[in-house]
Amino acid sequence: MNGDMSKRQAAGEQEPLPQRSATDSAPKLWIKLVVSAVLVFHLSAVFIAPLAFAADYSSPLVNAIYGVLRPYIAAMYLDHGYFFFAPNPGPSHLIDYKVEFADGRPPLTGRFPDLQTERPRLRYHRHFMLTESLNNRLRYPLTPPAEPTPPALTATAEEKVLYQANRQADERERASWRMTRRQFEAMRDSYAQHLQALHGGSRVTLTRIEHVLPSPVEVRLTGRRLDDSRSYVVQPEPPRLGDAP
Amino acid sequence: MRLLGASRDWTLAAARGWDRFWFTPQRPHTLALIRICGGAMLLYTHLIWSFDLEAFFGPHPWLTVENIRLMTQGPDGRSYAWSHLFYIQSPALLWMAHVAALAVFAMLTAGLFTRVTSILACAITLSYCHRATGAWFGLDQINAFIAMYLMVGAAGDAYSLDRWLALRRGAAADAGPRIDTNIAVRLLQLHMCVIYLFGGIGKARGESWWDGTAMWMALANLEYQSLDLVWLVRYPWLLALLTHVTVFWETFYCFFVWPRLTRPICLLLAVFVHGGIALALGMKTFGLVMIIGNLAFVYPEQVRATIGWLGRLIPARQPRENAAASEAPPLRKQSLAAAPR
Repeated sequence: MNGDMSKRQAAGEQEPLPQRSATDSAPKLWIKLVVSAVLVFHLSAVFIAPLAFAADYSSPLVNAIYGVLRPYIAAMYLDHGYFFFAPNPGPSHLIDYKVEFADGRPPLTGRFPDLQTERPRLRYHRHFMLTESLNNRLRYPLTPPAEPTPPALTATAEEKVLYQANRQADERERASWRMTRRQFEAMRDSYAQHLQALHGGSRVTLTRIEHVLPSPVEVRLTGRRLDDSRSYVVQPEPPRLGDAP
Repeated sequence: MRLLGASRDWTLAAARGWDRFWFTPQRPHTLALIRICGGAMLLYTHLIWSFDLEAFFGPHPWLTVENIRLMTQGPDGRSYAWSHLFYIQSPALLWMAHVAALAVFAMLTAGLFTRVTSILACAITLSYCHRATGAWFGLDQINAFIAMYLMVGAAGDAYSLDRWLALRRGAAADAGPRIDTNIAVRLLQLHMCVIYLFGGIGKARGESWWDGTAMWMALANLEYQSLDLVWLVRYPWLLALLTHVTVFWETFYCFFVWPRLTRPICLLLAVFVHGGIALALGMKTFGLVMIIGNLAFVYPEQVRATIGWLGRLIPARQPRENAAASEAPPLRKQSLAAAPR
């Protein structure tokens, strides 16, 4: 067979394009049905994850479907909103760190991400995402949301029913707030522990910085530079979860 | 009765449409090109992890495994994140696993043992993505689904070492169209549509995408900026135009990318927008990987013709025998007409 082909090729003949390979005769109907079911399942997962994100996990219908598909969505890394630069392109977040040493060495200070030391650019971007992820997990208000005021003793039955319903929704909101705060604290502590281990320090202090974007008017009329020192604003550290009222 | 008949006709037409969309065999050239470009991106992405391998995945990482599990917990308190890197403590073992991963990505790019390496590449990519929670961004999301769909189709049926080896064994010069290849490309196409749709919806919720300042806010972000375009502030109408075009293109991509008339415009805008992100916003990898995803909308015949044309630009120094084998036969009208759109 090789020989035949070589002869044809040597003579400049072209191989005809096969229209259909032997393995691709039309599949049986039941195979198509099974494949179709798998495709519908997968595409539902692809669609429902960003839909739930866009709906801020508030739609009971979307949440129900998302809840069923979540093991697959999460395991296959499909749990994304795809909100690139949305809803608005925002300011950047940086972290200044200070490593102190027990042996009396002068403290070491630095900032990440740092374009000068983290090259190529993708390395820099990984460190940039660390600071952005930490910021994304800081929910406001910085202290836990207050519980709703109980109805007065003279409240009507209807008011009491509404209070119970609001209280349940409020409890879910507070649980979500506590979860993200736990994540924030765990991330921040982990960054500090990493820097401590990396530099062999005894204590690490992190300071979160927000690099505020200048408005077009500011830049056009005052010539304000993007790296103006006033645009780097130190962010207040929230109280630790245990210390929060 | 008439309504019943119309309903039956509609259902049959829908079933035929579904069948044609998913189960029409497709030539491998588009998927093979995505394999080369996507595989190279996977290789590069993971090669860059080598600089900080222990800092991110080692014994004292930026984020510990416990952190990852906490960060990926759902409302039910369960985490479905998984990674082989969760279980590797020793730096030596970590490096061995990493070098093996790089070898898999290199083999996928070259198209060697593609069926196996595509599955391995998908598993490894997802594994790194889960472990790198907190450090990932859009690039990883696109990398992951490209890797996922490469393992669905016959990505090694063209432009691959597998194909070269098959030719040496006497196989036909061109692998035939396949249904699994079509399914892989269709999934890539639909996933791209979902990404742009929700990207557009997300932007439509922000006031800066309506008042025309969003592009400025992106360009004026010093931490992203890789090309100084601050001078554009003197042309607010141009910034507004870029802003509005971006959000409308993203939102309606899922409609306009399908008709033959508007598809080239849609893809041209994709190159423009993502090329801009790559050049000006310091995300060459993200910009490129989005363009790679858009390749799913290029017909295999066009890929084949373009690569054949590029091949002819390179002066041939190979023996005549091999040259004849690699030359692309002319496309036939029938194959073009049968190609899935």
